[in-house]
Amino acid sequence: MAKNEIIGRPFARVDGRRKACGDAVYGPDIKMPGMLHAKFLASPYPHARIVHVDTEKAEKLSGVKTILTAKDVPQVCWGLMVKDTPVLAGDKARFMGEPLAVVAATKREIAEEAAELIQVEYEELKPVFDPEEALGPGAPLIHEGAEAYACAMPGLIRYGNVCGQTKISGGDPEQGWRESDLIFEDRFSTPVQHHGFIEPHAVTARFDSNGRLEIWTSTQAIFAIRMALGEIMGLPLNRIRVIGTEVGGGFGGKTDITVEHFCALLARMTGKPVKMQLTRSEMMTYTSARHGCVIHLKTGVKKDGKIVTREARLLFDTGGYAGHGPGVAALGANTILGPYRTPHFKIDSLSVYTNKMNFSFMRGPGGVQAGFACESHMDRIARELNLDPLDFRIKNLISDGDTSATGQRMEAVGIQEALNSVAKISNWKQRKKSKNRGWGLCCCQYELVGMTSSALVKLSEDGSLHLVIGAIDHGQGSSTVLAQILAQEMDIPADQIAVTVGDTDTAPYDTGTFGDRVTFNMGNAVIEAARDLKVQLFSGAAAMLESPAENLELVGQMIRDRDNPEKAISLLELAMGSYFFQGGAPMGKSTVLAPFQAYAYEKVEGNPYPATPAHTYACQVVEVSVDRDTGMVRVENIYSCHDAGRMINPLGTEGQIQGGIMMGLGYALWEEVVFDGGRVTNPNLIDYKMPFAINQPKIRIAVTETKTPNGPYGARGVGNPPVLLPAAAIANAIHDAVGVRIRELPLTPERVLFSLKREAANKK
Amino acid sequence: MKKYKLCLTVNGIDYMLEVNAGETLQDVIRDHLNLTGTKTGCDSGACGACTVLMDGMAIKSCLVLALQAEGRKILTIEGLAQDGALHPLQEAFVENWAIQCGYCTPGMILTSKALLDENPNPSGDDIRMYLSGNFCRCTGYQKIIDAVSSVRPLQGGRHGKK
Repeated sequence: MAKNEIIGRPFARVDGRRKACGDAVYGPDIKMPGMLHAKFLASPYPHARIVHVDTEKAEKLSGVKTILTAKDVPQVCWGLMVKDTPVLAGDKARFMGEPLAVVAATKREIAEEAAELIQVEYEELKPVFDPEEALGPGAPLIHEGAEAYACAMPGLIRYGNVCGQTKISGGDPEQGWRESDLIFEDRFSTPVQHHGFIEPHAVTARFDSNGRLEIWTSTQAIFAIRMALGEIMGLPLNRIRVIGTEVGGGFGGKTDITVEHFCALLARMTGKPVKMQLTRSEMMTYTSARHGCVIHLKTGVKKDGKIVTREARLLFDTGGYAGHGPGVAALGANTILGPYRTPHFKIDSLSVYTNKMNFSFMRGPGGVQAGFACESHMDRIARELNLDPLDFRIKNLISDGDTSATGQRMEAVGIQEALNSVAKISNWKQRKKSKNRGWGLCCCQYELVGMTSSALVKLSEDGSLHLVIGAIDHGQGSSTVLAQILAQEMDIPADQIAVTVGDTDTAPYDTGTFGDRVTFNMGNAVIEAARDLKVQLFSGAAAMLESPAENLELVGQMIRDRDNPEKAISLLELAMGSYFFQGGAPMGKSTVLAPFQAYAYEKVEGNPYPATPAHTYACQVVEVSVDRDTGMVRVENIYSCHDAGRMINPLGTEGQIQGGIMMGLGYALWEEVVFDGGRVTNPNLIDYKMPFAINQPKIRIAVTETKTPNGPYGARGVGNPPVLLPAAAIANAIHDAVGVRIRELPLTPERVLFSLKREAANKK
Repeated sequence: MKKYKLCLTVNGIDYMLEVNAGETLQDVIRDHLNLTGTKTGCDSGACGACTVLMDGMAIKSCLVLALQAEGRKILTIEGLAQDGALHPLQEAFVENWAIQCGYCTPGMILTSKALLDENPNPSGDDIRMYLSGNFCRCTGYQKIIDAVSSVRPLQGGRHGKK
């Protein structure tokens, strides 16, 4: 290990200054000479046959360059898991807000006016909005002929309005029910949450005369965008260049195509650059959001508090198209047992089509919904068994060598230490109970995504190092963390490393920025690339120093012989020498595929994410006060402990945790995309309530470090778990404070007040 | 469409422009002057990303019509650093990891400047209250509050030049 330890130190962000000075370039900031502006026409009905589209009047508007409808665009269906999504709705519209036509015009206002002039004849169809109803007999079928759709993900279970289903079982549930002393049943439901990034989706595309597509987009995954565009545009991938702009917040909502294909098609048609920037209302009615979910839980326990068996059924409302729904349902299934030993269980988790927008990935997908249900249910069981919620959890906690829901063998389980730590900082055992104040506890076990990352480390003539990657830093700080990792491996000050997030032409492949995977998997790739570079440097230096390569080490930008330290050459000399005598300086490169983990494949069906290269752990204690007259909940204190495996940068780690907790707090207390039938009634940031600084409670954070064997220096992701915690912790604290158990989010004053009234009425 | 003359000062430079009656100050800054450090987020005054200082007051430039800025002095994020030296608030945001995606940052920094110009020694709650027209979805606000708290007034109670 290098002398100057860089891992674990609070480095300032590599992109801090350009963001503080306003010169970072985001999607909406892209401008081109002669650029056209695009707008789409959205379906005003949640479920309707499109009988006729007439663009004649719109086309006559001065400034309109072209209008595309379903018949003018490639007749392909695309989709990440199920290929069910047409480029533009042609035969029917499946949600209110679905694009039917796109216009390119010289000005944005003209494009908007033209879209309104398009005349469409619809024939309304019976819609379905509730996932439980969508499963019932006689429910309208949202995709006729869905069985003909191709699947990008093999082994998906699909039928009727179900586009994905994960089934997992373990032990013998029937025996479990017989062995149980007590059985608890609950039904939970969770709302749709808007990602709430401040930067709107904005895309600019152009074709050059060689037929090459260049596209600037604010995305978390440049290669995923390129892949989808290739399929839609019918272009080989080497004719598409996706350039990721700075991303003004992603949280899972910028992993997939939103309007990239519209801009590309309009640019091809007009021969001009085309830009499309969504309004907040379009973002909240057309792009994705967090799945609403209904969860049934039934758990059998022994009198002493040992969990025996659990049955879980989760219904994820995925909207008009599958999107990542089948994957989100799988993650919900994987999370629903929590970090608790459950000898017998049966889990059934469905992704169901309804006539709403397409819900997809959002920070902690599946886990946030399942976490609220599991941890509220656990709290209820503890209360009814007269056990302290902490003791009840400790009694059932998993540890190394246990298996996950899917039968993966658990290692580096960090939950025990995190739970001890949160109990300590919150003083749980000595907590003071006063009138209308209460305490809630919550644990989280989630998983991170591995997949593929590649890195390129270039040594320049002057010995300086350049890291080139295709993993977007959408704010979480990955570029800084990766610079630190390279600095550590090359024993160079971190501020001397330049990080370039390249585009799809210049950067080596990476799966994308989501699922807590960049520090974890790209971190490993950077270590491998640095080691590859060192092997080359040592081999070059060996000849110059007349020392065997295996004797060489890199210390303080000098390569020297371990046994004979005066035999040394600086990185600068070696770099310069390589350029002149070896035809260029060496480049370190790597491709790292996260290791696949074994799981109980015979017990798992239809699950696209059956195992993870590392689980993630966190725990939280919340103290609330409740106003019985208004139902207002005030979160007084949050104590949160998170296992980072190994912290690479404490500032970045804390930032992820603090930000995630506030997003989770919003989900718990205020945030809900409200639907009236298929219509979103609050598609703006005034009526959709996200937390401001003034809503911030006192938050105290602790970080534990249970090193995971697969992560760089033992690190694991910390971005998702913080969002999983607050909802259940607060709901449990409300129960502790005023005795009502609320099984539906958000925990608004109305909901609390009605629960209190119902409780009072029941007592009479 | 009828054009109107607009004279205003942005970051110390005087401009004479022609605008439509419906254009906002945000349109002038971003589209006419290409100062894209002023961000656009909601076009409804909800998010605070487009905050600039107008005669020293923090305002949401999407809610101000361009013609209402006639004769006013506007400061955008591009005008804050002086001769390559960051303003103490910019330094503090960088040092404290008060920036993640950075999209709210220009608005946050300018709002914070207005606060410190009014009240050189704000408490944590003063800062929370003052910044509660600006959304940040990434940081959870704590590090922004830390950053603003860390900036102490220079001699004479001002923060930096400007």
